[in-house]
Amino acid sequence: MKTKEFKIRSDYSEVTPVTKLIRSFCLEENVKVSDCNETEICLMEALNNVIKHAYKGDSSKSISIDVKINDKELIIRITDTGYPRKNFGKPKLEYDPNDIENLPEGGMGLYIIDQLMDEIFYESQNGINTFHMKKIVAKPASV
Amino acid sequence: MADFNVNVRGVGSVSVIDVKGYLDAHTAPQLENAFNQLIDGSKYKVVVNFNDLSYISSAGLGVFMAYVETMRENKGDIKFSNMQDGVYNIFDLLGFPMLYEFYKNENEAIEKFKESISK
Repeated sequence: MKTKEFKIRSDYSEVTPVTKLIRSFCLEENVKVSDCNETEICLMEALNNVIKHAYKGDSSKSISIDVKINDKELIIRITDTGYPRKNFGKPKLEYDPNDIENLPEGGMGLYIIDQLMDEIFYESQNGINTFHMKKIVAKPASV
Repeated sequence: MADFNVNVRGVGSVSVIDVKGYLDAHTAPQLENAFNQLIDGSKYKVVVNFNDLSYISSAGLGVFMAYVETMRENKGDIKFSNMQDGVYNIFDLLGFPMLYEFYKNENEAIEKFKESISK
């Protein structure tokens, strides 16, 4: 099991650089490129959600990201101390393509994460919010 | 800092928006500004050329959702061209092909606008 920890300020400008670092870490650990790409997308969405919903755009807070990779799984834990999210249920994205007045402009991030990850889980305890994402990854057999 | 560039150019009655780099929550306001300027200039026929876009997040997708209604209400549209597979996969995941027209290259998208004018 390889583990790496990252910490960023809750600023949108810090999201892309850290997702690139984590993608590099996944590639170094021989995770398949397509899995690395999908993980990068989910990380971006999850971190943006923390800044927007938990910290309400306050860029002075911090977000911790723990990444664990073994032969079968990639596990990411994102921790913040902002407002806990409510109604964190199974995300749905339903819209009528003929009704463009009512297209969703938000709520797509969690839906993307749910589609690309194999398991997601959110909890909030004692002022600490944690979002877990797990992806079954394909790695070449060790020689 | 994430690299993103947006450039708007006119091709006849059609406006082409070239997007480059990473389009995410941090950079999406630049694209919103481009759309606002087009609307201020009463330009509603838009092709977005994704040739140099490496990544799009849901915040970027939300921009297109926000502006398509205004464009169509004014006899225009937002059409997409030159999209890399990785970027298209995100659009596809969210059902965008039901809502928007995707073209392999910019000229095809521009021609489509011309066809709709001549009808």
